[in-house]
Amino acid sequence: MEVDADAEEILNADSLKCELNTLSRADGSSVLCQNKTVMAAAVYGPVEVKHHKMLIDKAYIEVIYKPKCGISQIGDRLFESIIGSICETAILSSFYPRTAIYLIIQELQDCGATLACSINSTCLALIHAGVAMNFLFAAVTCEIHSDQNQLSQFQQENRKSEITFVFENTSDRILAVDSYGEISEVEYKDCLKKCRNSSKVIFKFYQDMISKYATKM
Amino acid sequence: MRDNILSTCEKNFLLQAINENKRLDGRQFHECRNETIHFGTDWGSCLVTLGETRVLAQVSCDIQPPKASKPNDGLLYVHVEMSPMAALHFESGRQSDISVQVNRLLEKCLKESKCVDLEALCIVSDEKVWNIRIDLNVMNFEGNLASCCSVAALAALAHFRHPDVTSTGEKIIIHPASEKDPIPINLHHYPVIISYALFNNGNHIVSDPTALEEKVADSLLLLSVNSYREICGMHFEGAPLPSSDVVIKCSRNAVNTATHLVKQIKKALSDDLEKRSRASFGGLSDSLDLNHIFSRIEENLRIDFKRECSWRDEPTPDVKPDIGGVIKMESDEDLNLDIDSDGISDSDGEDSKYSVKSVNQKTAELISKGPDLLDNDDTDMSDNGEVIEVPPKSDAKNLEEIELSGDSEEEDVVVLDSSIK
Amino acid sequence: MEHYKSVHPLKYYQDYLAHDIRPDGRGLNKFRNVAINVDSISSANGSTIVRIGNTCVVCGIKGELGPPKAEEPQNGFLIINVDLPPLCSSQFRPGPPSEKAQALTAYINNIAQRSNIIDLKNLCIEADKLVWTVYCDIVCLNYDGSVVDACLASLIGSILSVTLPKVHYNAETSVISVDEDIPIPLTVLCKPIATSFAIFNDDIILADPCGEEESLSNGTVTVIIANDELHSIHKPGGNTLSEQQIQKCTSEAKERTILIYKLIQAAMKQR
Repeated sequence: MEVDADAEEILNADSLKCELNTLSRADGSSVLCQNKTVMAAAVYGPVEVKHHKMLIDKAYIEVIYKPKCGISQIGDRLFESIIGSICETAILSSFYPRTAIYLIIQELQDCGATLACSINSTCLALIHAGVAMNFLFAAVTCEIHSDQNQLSQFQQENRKSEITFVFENTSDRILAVDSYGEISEVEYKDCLKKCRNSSKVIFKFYQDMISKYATKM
Repeated sequence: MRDNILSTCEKNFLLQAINENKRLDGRQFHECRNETIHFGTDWGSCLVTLGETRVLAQVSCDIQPPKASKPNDGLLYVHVEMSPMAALHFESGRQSDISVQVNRLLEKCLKESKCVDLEALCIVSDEKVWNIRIDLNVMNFEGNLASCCSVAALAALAHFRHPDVTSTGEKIIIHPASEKDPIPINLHHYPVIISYALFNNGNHIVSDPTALEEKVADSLLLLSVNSYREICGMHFEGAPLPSSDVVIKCSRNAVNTATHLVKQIKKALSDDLEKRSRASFGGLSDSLDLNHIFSRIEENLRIDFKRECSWRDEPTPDVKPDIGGVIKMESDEDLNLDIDSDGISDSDGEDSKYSVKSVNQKTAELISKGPDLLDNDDTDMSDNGEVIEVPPKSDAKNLEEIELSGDSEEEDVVVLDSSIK
Repeated sequence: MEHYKSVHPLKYYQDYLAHDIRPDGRGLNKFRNVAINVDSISSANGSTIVRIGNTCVVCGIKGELGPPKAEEPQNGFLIINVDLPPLCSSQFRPGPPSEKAQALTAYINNIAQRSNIIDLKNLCIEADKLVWTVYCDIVCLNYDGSVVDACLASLIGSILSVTLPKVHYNAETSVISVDEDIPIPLTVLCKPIATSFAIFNDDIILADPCGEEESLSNGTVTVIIANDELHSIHKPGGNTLSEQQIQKCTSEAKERTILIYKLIQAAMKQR
């Protein structure tokens, strides 16, 4: 995969760090750091499913998002529903009828762009678990600041609005979007372009990650 | 999901190994697994691993009225959360037997041993005190959870800082971290839980048991010990012991382990303080082991996040807050919203497919004008071989008629229904 | 025909959609009729009923006085709760709020907060002592698709119609006196309106889907517009869309938002 050569200007020294196989019990697990935001994801599945949740033609997919402090609240339900429907599209669930796939995401450190980081760590955990998928997905968050002439990913302070795009690796189409705050049309288009470029960086990262361990196994 | 059932041969294998003074992971009986302690960027955030067992602790605080019985004491709350991440048989949001037990053990260890100086957490007596909450998220369950949780909770408590508060008679001012340095919690002593699994009537004592050893063991002994070599809690479960020697033997060993653990916590704390001042400090992102085959790091990624230049000239639309309840999107004249006797008002010329209609008091409807599509499609449908039922045309007529006719509410209900079926 | 529909619901729909028409007689980008009634509940401080086709949602607002949070002594509270009771659809069971209801509540709360519908500082009567807590309870009476649209429209309608009594607070004696005769409307800073779309087979986008269409579709898109600017796009997974398709949804939503504004105004005018 070619990373867009236009992305010449290096503004933030963004870093991606990832470790797979961190948890011994789960079938697939990952810890992903995007800058200073850290998320852990675990995948169990396909496993036995409770009778009342069983689907005869596909796997039942459940997503659990755990905040690091306090009990899980309605905001976490929204995250779960977004990640859940992304995974339902991405996972080839008809390969695993009458089973369940559990995805658990644990917030470890919140320095902005938590949704994007948790989506990406979920994808890595799914890769590690070896679950069959239609495509890989990568999320990028873009924040717009009213007083600055710059977009960012992890600033959080004084942001006017933020938008998260989720892309898939087989086409240029958009898998999911979630945005809050006022965004003009010009801003939207700019964000989309920037996010699409950086999603390619993430897909490249996935690829390098897999080829590192898959060749030696 | 149920927990995996322990098979007899697995059990016998372990017991036989114990009888031969061996453990399945190759450790000595008194040997503990390696522990690692990492702190996050937030105060009071801590990730502890004990072998494969992994626990995330986060301390948070808020201001609450104190208990009536102790008006001068702050509050301390411990919560252990076991999600399916730890092991599939735990249900999220529901307490399991083990999480209740660990929760209670931690309360005994931290709250009832009075290690936290609660009086210092009082802001205004009988009115406002700090409520300190410790959340423990178990990420991987491989035995000796109580010990791992207690180390995580203690390290997080020692790491935590709550905002400074000044009380000026009636009012209290909470200073953000930028104004005044936040204040650490006072800890009188550092208690940790050490656990032992006993086999063969206490003849074989195994420290820091794994999940399998915990399951097979005759009985478990958990001791809370602080760094002053004092015992401040004890829990015993399982088959009764023939003699008390075992407890004494264990407690002798436990004080050494506890001193070691507390030393590790203090070392991790001072390391963290030093690292914090550096710009490259990444908190928990430094906890990753980047040297093994399953990990990867990319730094200085060339991600361009500069705004396009055209943005600068873009005039930001100023949003004027309008006062009162009426929408001032456009002025009333622009809207040209004159409501005639029929109660129908056409908003914009012929282009609009919808019309706003005021029905009666306090009600308005948005109705799509003329169902033009239905007429055109009639011929297409008949050409096609597929069995498609075209909705009866009478519905469409009905809609047109009623839209123009009277304005009683009952009829309008009919409008809505007929246009949908 | 009925059998065909129950055996192959998806095929039944696809046959219709192949002819650019939907089983309920609408074109692909046609919206259903909308009806709005304001001040429907006399016991509430403000209320609105919104009907979009068969979907029916009622929102009631109640103001309560109470102390603020110690951390934010200047701010009042705006608490929005969406209830999807079993009566609105057979897919919901009695008991604690379903995951769908919780996610919807979280989404609408996020919108209210990030789009800044009202300034919480305006709800303050005396800092650190007394503030208004505005409870917005949105109850769905009939669940037939595009519920977000109805919920947000009813919320905006109710917030615009709400009046709170004048309250005096005596700082020395801490006596609260409420003057019911002076109703004060809330200052509304932003009026976001939602428009939903459903995705069918990659390329077909249905405007304002009904419940059946939503459950058969491969995902939904909700676009929220206020003051002719985009305030939120929410597309949780589902089939992928191209940039142009999302653009089209946005422009259609912009047109419709103006109509909904006019509709709310027409309803408000007759009070």
